[in-house]
Amino acid sequence: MAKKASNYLTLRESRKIIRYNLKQMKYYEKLKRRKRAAEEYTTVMRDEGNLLEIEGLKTCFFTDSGTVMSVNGVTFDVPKNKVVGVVGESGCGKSVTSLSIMQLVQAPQGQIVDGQIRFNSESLGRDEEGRKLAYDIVRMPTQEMYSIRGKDITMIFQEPMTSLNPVFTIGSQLDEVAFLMNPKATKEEAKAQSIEMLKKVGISMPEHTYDCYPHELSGGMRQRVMIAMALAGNPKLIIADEPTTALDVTIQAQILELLRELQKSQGCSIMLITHDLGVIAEMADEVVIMYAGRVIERGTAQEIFHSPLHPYTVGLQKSKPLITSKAGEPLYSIPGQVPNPINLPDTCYFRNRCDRCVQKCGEKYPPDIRVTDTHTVACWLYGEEE
Amino acid sequence: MTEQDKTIEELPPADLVTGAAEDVHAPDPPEEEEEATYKEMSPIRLVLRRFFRSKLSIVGLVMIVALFLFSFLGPVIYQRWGEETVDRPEGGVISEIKSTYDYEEDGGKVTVTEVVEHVSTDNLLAGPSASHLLGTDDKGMDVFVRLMYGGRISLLIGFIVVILETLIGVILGGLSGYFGGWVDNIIMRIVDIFNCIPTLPILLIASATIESWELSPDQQIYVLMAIITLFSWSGTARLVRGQILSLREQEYITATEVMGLSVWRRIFKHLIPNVMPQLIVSMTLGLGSVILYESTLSYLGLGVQLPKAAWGTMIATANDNVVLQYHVNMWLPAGILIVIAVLGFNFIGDGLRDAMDPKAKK
Amino acid sequence: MSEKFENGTAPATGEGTAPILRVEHLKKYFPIKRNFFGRPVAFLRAVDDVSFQVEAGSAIGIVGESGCGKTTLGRTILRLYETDGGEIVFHGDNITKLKRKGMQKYRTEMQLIFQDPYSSLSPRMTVGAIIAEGVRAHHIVPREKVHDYVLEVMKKCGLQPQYYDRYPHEFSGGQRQRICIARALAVRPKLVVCDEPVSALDVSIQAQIINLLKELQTADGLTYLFISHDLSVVKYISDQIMVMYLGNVMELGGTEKIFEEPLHPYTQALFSAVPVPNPDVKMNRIILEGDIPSPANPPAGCKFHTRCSRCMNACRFLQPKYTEVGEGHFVACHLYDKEIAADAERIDAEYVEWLQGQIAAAKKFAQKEPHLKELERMRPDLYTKWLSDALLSGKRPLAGKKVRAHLFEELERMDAEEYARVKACENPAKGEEEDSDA
Repeated sequence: MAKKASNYLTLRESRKIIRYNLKQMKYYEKLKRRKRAAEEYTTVMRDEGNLLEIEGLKTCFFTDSGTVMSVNGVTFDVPKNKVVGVVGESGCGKSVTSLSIMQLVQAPQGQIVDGQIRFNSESLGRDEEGRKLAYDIVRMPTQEMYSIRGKDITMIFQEPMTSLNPVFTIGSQLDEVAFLMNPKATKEEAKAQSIEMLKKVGISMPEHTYDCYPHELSGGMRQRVMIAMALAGNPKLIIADEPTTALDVTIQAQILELLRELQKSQGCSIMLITHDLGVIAEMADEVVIMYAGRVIERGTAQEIFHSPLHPYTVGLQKSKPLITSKAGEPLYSIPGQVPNPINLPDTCYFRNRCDRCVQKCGEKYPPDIRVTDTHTVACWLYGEEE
Repeated sequence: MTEQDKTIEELPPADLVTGAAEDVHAPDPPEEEEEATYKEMSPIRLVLRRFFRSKLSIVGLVMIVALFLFSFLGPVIYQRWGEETVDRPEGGVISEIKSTYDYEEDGGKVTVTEVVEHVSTDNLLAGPSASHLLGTDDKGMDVFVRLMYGGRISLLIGFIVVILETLIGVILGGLSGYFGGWVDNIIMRIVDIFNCIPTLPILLIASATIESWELSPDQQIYVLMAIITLFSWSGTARLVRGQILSLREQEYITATEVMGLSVWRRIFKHLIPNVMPQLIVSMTLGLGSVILYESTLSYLGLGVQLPKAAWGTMIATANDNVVLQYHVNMWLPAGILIVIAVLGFNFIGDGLRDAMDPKAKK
Repeated sequence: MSEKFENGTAPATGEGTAPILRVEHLKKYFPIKRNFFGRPVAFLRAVDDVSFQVEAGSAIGIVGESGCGKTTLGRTILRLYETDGGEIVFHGDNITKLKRKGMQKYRTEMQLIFQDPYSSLSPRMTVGAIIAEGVRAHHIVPREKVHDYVLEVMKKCGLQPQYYDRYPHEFSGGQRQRICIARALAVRPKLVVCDEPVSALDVSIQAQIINLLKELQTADGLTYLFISHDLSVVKYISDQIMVMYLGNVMELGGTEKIFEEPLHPYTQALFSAVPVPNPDVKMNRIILEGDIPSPANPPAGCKFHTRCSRCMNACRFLQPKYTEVGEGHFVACHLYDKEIAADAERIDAEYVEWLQGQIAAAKKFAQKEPHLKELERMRPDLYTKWLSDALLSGKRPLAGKKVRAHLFEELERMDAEEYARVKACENPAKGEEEDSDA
């Protein structure tokens, strides 16, 4: 072995980081436990047509190597009855965003440190000025969150095998959800509701499936069961975290079809997180593109695919080999790698990999520049400060 | 930093602190890096850090280090008494009581035997004093010094036995886990046999046999080590085999197969190093149990023989009621030291296991 | 250096150049049930009669979904598994039955790149040691030159020299995959089996790795066996494509040809299922019904017939023949089998006969579910009839309350009329229990 690797932290540095982390974690945990009055976590929606408004969300993890800002100032909206696609590669913070919305970030290392998540709940009315009231999920105490999580906002995970408990039958897990929705239901009622849910997601033999264990079902069927569980409480918002990544192509087509139908029939919004542009093009009405914890482009699906602005978006689209394209030349690939998330400097994060980088990119992080009403991009190429 | 020093009540309500992350920076990444790699702790530092986070592990470490210093450095420093030195004051035997008796009967002289009484002035069964820190035992040997020498033996036996049994266990368990089939079957049945043997009767038989060989005390210790090794390797072999069975399916082992590496290389360069974490933990815990085992054997008279010092034999003196009641200094310290040794190794073993577990939450 | 081929023009059957790899009727079965004596009685047919050829310097893409056996095929070709039939001919040598020692010299010529870059690198060895290991074991270069050679290989794969002493866990997925590629390339192979090398990576890194693979192929004249489920990647890198389903080859042919004109219904469905990143294109999707059957219990006849929209009677009980329909283009489907088309009547009669046999068998084993399912799959209408017959006859195997209730539910779902009829007759018939039937 040659010289000692020089990329390891020294003892002093690591001790400093640990001390700092402990202090921060303690502070935020204390803040969470404080009792809050209802006014503190109720706010008003900016636009009533939106179901969820995320503004300036910052979630960070206090790790031994430093503070990782997984979500570093993310702003976008989820309108009612629309599908919003969140695209990004691994490490860009899209999963952490969804966990922040559900207040499921792994504490005490992970904390939401800033921002607002406004949820347009049906149970709230209007204030004196007629504006629609909303819950601020960032400041909501955990107790209150129970009434939203699982009922108004539900989640579908990527790996259906590990999201289902392998020692219980599908039926008992579905019944659990049914009981949550209706605590006074009898066993038969719960079973009837579970079978109804299974029918709704297109499982052909619901009674048989009711008695099966998760390992007896295929991946596609398990994902359908997950969707059934998510739909049980008539949610307003379904967060689907890469629901079809682990599935085969033909099954993916079925599941996406199912999601589309259900979205129309139930009248809910879906926030679809994925890295597959094809899935986004098919499902999403609006697209949000994230990179290294920030939103770099936002717009309708048409705008993003037909006129992508940010060099990263352009690169992403170019680098995917299309089934309809001609082979022969090398694929376009974005050079370099996603930067180290610890202590990113205040320059454009994509700077080192961008082929159209200008001098201003190295000075300050670009603000969100509004190109059209619906299309926003964070890049110096499209304008100056607002 | 001042905001965080205030109590929560003093801060404006529903306010989340921003910008606190800017106060302390991890060091800047070097300028010239094209490919960003992650600065993080070296794997050994990570394990050590997690180990030292647990107070119990530190206590264990302190205990064992103290014991080591006590046993190995102690006699070098405290040279006053040797291991088997009997505290015999100058002059040897002092008093002699002779009684002669001449008896005259009709006919002649009858000589009656002399009764000579030797009262040894050896300092037997003394209490703690300035010269004997823990007193002396029934042969006049200093208890404190014997504790130190006993520690040497216990710790030495512990380490050697654990190393030996790990070696045997790794080789046999490795072969068994890797090859499967009849090799696995045979080795595991041998392990089963060893597990089923009732140890105590066998040890009694063995000790009787060994006594008949009339070996020197040192040789007896070697035999003792061999016996303990013989009874301990089966546990390690099982452990290693289980680990290898699960590791065998990992893709990097398939990669070695594709690469055409030899079987030995595969087992010893790829599989075994990945079993090391578990193995280290089991070795550390095994140390404690070997020390206990050795002490038990010595207590039963099967292990280290007198006059060599061993903690077990020192505790065995408590069999006598008088010693049990009035000469606590003879047997209690040895017992305490055994407890300290075993506990210390257990704490360290537990701490290591938690530290090396990659899935453990912080 | 071997010849380089343009995409899509490589002839599948070699004329003039002997193919570097020829696989004939390869079979690999895994026993899933053994009888008391340890003899296997039921098999999982992971690879069932696969044949293809690859020219040196070209690439064949093997696509299919989970359970189709493509990974098993790749590993069987590398002789990581023993074959259960068929032949593998590599470079003119039959390597099917070679033992460990015989395979040693072929090990450097056939290498494997794994799917998961995280678990395919030994966590306790440095990058340099990992790459150098094969080199040292097979004496590729003399001992003194190993270090420099490894650095050279690393450079070729886009790894910086200072990575030599680092451990794998410090790298990202894409870099780890590069290390895997470097390891495979260091022993100078001729054939590289790439088992889904980019599935676990991000899109932008995928492009980098694919470019690297293509570069290396041209530079070193490598032959690739590219296994993937991602059709766009496979299209980009392969000259031939082989579509597998549940261990059988459905279609094989040149890339261009297959993409222009997919013949097999499964291939068509597969291609249409790939989402296109263009929101305006509303794909005329062929959505396949049902799930992929378990490879341990495949359907009878053509394995795809349960999900096929153009299923005929023949497909249900006859195995399709693997025929050549164009130059180098093979399909296994009854639609392209002229004999089937010509002989329709006889086939139908045979089918009815076979069906009766299946129904009889199902009645006999009514309590065992697989046969019930089989019957239902084959002919739902006949199944309904049988169901109502069975329920009316009050056969003992159906007497269990739960099973009976379950079957009644099924009947109701399938045919309400029939259900009503049976329900009406049921009550008087409940008392009678006939022992045997047919």
